[in-house]
Amino acid sequence: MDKQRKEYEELKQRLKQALQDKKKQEQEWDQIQQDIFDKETEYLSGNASSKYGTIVKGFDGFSKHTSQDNHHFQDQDRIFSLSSALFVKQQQGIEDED
Amino acid sequence: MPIPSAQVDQGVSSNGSNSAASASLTRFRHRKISVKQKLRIYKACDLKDLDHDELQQRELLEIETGVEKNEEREEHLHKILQNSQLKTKDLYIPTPDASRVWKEFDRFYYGKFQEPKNYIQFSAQLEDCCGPCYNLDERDEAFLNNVLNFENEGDRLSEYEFEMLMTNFESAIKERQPFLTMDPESILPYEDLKPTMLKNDIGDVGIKTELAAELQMEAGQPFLTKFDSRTGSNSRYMGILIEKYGLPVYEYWRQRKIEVVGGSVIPSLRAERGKDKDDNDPYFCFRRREVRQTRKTRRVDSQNSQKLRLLYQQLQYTKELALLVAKREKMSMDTLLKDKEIFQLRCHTKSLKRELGIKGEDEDLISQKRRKLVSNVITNKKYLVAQTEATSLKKLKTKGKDRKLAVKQPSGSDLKRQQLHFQKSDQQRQMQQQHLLQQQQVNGSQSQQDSSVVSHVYVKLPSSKIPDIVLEDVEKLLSMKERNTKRFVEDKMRRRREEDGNLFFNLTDDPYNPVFEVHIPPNIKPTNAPFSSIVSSKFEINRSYYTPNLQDYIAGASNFVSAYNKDGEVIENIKYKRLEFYNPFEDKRESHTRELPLRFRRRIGRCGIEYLDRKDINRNPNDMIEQFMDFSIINEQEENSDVINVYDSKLDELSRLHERWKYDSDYNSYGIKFSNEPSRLNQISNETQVIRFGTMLGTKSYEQLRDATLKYRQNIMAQRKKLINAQRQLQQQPQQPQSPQQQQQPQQQ
Repeated sequence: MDKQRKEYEELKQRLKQALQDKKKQEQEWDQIQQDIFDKETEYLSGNASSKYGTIVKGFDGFSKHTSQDNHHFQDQDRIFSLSSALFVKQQQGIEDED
Repeated sequence: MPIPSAQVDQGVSSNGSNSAASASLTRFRHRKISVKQKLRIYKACDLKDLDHDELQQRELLEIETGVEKNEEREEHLHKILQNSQLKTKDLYIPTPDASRVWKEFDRFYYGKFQEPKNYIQFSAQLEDCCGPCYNLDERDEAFLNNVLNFENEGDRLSEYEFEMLMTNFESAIKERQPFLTMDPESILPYEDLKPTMLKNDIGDVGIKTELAAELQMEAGQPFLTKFDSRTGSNSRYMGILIEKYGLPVYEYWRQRKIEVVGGSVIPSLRAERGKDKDDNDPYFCFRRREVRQTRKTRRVDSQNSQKLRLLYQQLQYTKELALLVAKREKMSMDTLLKDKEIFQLRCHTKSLKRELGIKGEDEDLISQKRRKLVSNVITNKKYLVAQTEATSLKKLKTKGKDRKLAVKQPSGSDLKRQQLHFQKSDQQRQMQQQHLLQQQQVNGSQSQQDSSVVSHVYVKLPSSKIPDIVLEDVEKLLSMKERNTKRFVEDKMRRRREEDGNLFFNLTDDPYNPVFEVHIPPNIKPTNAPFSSIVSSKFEINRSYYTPNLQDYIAGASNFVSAYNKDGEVIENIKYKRLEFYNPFEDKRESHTRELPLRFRRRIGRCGIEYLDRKDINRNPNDMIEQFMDFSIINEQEENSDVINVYDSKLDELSRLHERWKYDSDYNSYGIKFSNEPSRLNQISNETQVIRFGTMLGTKSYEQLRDATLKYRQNIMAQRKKLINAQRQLQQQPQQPQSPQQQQQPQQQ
């Protein structure tokens, strides 16, 4: 009985730890996703290096000397953020709430 | 193939040097014959000495082979070309037989290809798919099976791993000893090569390990990326392989390396190396083409390098993002694993809890809430909103600045005051602005007035502008002139009549003009004076007559006529004391005045007969005819139809008279009344008149300028006067108090 009791306590402790870990992981996940999103925004909205195209839009104009500065992008272009099913679901959830 | 020696050198240069050797190498070429070039002359006896090939080559020129010039010398082709007619069928260029079917194909190429529904997407390079560069040959297989794996049976080195090792050796030696071919014996020992080999990244292992480290995966944990082929998936890591089999494989590899004199053990196609070019070796696989280098400018160079740098940055960005995504996915996986762990823990705990009969304490056992589908990520919309807010803020700021500037601009002197006002309440500011506007308007109107005055001072009349002005008709101007003169004369006459009262009157055509005795100077004739005006201007007046009491004179009561000479002195001579009544058809014709009652025109008719046409002044010939002719007599004569003399016939006379007076018109050939002639400016051509008119315009513009200047001066004068007045009043102010109206006056001004 005591042994079982001890085991139970231990299990409880482990469970608590696991739950904490999970919470931490979720936070980290959010952080990473935020990083991705921000970096993606920065990347897609154009900087000096995106003069000749991006990995999303392609480098069609690379060999040409003219550079077009259309840094417009749509949400569909966020291939990095959208590669996460969870993120997509979350966004859909937000839209539904709206 | 014997190279024909050139015996015909058409292209001998002028200095006479014989370029037979070089000519033989280049293809025989026809050249234009020129006097500067020497030509060898062959006689009939020389012909048999000529090289047969040479002659044949000359004939052969006509065939277009379609291959490059150098390749025409290829042995088989050359043979064919020499027997130019292709008469023998057994001449051909040998090619390897590719028509047979390879029976063992199915043994090596198996597997089934399933066509995907979408396009085939493939990013991996060929090198990524075929494994290591090195390919096992029979010798290697023998070594692997009979030597290496024979000794340590339990721990076999697979063929794939062997290939990997060999590739690694090759790349390591290429890096460490690139010029091994110079001295194959100096090949580095195994210990020296080992670190390079460990560093080498054969099969992208290094990248994978790096990736694993970055994703915090356990070392040695095998994983495959999407681009990896599955062939070598179960091979061991390079480090392990080198440790275990490095030395024996090195010995084997070293042996082979020395055998190929330091070259690559991996068999390769023979290709041109470096600069040396051997056209005669038919076993070169790929030959370089002589391609002219395109001109490169520094600008293009720098542009291109800039582009490459940007591309590199792009890829860097992408790599970072991809790495982040990979991290996130790993995190997701970890979370899932954690979920599983938690689930299992809960299961255990629950069963234990039930056994122990513990109640409560189950807050950790249930997942209180399902993970909310709420993202903590600040997404696009919010981001955009934030951005727009920022920009609008900026805009607002700039707007504010603009407003300040706008207020600053209009006035220089009132700046401080206005700023103060600006800082006060809105109403005040608006009022101020309105006031400002009004001021501006007033200023504007003033300036406009000023400018109008100023602009009028200068009347520009560029030469091109003159024709654009609507010119007044010369005819009109002349008629106006005439009208003015007429009016002037009439005026004069009216006054004269008033002076005269009823005392004097004249009997001449124009009763208020004195009767003159007019002479034409002897050198002037009406024929050479083009206009009567000129004639009349030359008239000399010797005498004039005047009857003070005409009424009585006509009645016969008085006989008094006073005559004056050209100096205005009274002539006392009875001869002139008669007033004349002019009648051309009077029998006793005696004209006392020398006024020209008729004018004549000389005219040459048929047969050179000269006529003198008479013109009566101010008389209509048709009216006159009635006076002169008795129409009843004509009628009578015609009715009687007597045969009468032509000179007695009145009808004939009438026709003759009519004919004579036909030209007796008041209008000249231009259709202008003769009385108007003097105003025709003495036959001046139209062009001259235009010039005169231009100068008239000039004077007109000058007058305008003068007027404008006067106006301007007057304006300035008026302003100065006002100023002076104001000053005076100001000076007077302290001395004596004035009425408020007077005080306000200067301010208004």
